[in-house]
Amino acid sequence: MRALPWSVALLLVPIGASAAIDEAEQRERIEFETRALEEKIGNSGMLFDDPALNDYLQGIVDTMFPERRGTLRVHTFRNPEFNAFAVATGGVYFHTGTLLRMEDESQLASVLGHEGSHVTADHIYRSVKGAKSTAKASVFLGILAAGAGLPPVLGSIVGLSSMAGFSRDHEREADRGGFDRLIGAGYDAHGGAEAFARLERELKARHITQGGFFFASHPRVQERVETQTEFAAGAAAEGERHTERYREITLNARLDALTQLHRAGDGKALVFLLGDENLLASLPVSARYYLAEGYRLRSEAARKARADKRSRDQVQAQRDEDAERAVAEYQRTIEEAPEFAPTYQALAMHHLRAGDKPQALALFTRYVELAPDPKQSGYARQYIDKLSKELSP
Amino acid sequence: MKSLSPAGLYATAALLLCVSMAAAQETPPPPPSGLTVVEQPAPPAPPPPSGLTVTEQPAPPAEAAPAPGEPAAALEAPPAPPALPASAAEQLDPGSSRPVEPPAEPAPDTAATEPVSAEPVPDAAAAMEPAPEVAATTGPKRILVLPLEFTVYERSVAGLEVVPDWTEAARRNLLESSGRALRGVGGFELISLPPLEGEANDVLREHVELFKIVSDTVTSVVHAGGKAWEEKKTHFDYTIGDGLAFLTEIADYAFILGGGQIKQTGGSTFMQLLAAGVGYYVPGGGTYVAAGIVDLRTGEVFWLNSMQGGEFFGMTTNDTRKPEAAEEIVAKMFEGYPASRWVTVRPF
Repeated sequence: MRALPWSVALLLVPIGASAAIDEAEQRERIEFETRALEEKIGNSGMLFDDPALNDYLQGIVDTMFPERRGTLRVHTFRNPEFNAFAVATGGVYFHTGTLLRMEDESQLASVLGHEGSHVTADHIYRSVKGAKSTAKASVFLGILAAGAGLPPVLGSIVGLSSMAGFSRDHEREADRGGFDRLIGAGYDAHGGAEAFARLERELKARHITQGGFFFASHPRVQERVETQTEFAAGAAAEGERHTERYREITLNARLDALTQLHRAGDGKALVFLLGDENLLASLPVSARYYLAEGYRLRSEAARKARADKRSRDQVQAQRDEDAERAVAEYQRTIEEAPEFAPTYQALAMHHLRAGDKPQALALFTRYVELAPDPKQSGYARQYIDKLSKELSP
Repeated sequence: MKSLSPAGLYATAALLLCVSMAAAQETPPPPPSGLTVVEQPAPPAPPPPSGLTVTEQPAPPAEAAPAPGEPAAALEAPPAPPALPASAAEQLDPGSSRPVEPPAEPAPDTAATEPVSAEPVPDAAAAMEPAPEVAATTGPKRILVLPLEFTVYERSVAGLEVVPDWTEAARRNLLESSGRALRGVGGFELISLPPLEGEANDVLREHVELFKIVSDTVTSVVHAGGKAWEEKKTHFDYTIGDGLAFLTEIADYAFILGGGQIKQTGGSTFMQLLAAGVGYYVPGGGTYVAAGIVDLRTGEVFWLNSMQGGEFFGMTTNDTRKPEAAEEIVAKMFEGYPASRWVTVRPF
């Protein structure tokens, strides 16, 4: 029993002496580092360059946070996942992947309100301050753990858990603040609940555990859906959604997110968003190509997966079904968007693998007609040459 | 279960501290030749001074031949090099070229054979490559000193945090020391970077990032990669490409310095001591500096060196916040210039 006060005294004297910086200096440190971070982001090529979209997002934030006009700055961040983040200097970075998953302006505003509230509630400074306090305690726990024969990192994990809990309070506060701003700006109160309900369905469909995907420190998504629903139930009349305006201005960013998911080979996400959630309705008809590709990618992923808990027959059945759906969706895309070139190449590859060389040749030829740029159609030209020789009498 | 004994902990920590300090006192500072591992032979003589002549761009790489039947116009024309802004043109006027540091050092022709450090480096010269051609030319070569990318962090028990005042002090010290070394050992005329905008700024930034990758590669692979990379030491042919040739209007070479330092707080040091006492390693601090000179005409890395030093239990001689430490670090990096060497400065 007497060992504990000794340890505490030994540890806290130097720690306390070294950590004494005042609020102004702490804020200066945070801002200095954040400015460097924002400069790096700005130079990273990861900002989506669409002035009309940025003006649109900025306009919404300025409406929701009129007293912060000029200090809260919104940027569109090229990332296909559902996320957004705010930094201490007032920058709000909104993922193109989040735009892809939103259906109207009220859903968009619910996320913007949440992020803006992090800034107005001074959460960054409070988090750093809280993390430092928690870390001091975690050092003590770590040394105690090490003395007991356990690695010191255990103490840090305990400390981190405390930090995560602290941060969740901030998230709840930002949820409430964001909702109040949403209502104050005249938007429909149900936007937030709808957005998070979709997120919850996506996590289940893609078999993603929450940590590391969307706001790892956020409250559980189910809890957020319930909270947002409660907020909306207490709100008065229905507000604005501006669905058409949202769809028009965000279209390029949403298509960009779609192509990024496609390049990443994420068939599950493509099928979930475009098929299960029917976001196709808000996109041009040619976007059906990405649904077809989603089925193809998911089929191929199922073939490669070794950790699949299903039986081999079940996996094979899923694979065959996805492959058939892919072909059906390619064909439907060609019917609805006959000038969209990539569909022809994708379907040509399917026929080539299936051994239908004449059909593959015809589709490759059509593809090159629609995409004559040799940089784009180099492979197709090679296949045309090869198949032409093979099929010539 | 093992119980924690504070008295034992304290004794262990004190013992560790005494041992490390005693070891430091017993370890004589290595002679310059001991530090000297000539990894890179002297590079070939740089091209003759270009004066203020705008260097012609090399021929663009050949594009892929168009497919049969395709019009040649389908191929994209090579991008034009970015143009310097009007403000940069002012740098062409020698009178407007502002050196980073007032010329307090000896003239380049005499300084080229003298070490920058206040202390002489008697044995170093024997191990060095021949005197740099660049310093032997009649007129000083112009070197563009790019903004230093150096950050000083504080490691507290909560983690790492950037400290603005320390960072600014370290940058200032390293910049001043580098300026003296470049003028003295290198025989360069210093040119500060004019404000660049638009594409020119993007191209410069991309090449600086590329230089960092090259520098890291040399550090991690060439110097520590084992025998497979031995040839690179004798045939040091790294380049960042000729994309910065447009800057030859104002300079012949570019100097790039980057790195960082982690300074421990008292709490972090104490935690490290206590953790060591119970047999665990907790990261401390340290300094890493990498610097290079790039031929703006060709993009060849003309000279490259890096230095690292540790901070153990809060003690270091590589604290770049102090002018004398920055001076020593830069001086050691430039020993034997232009031969590139791998220098590791010990903590005591």
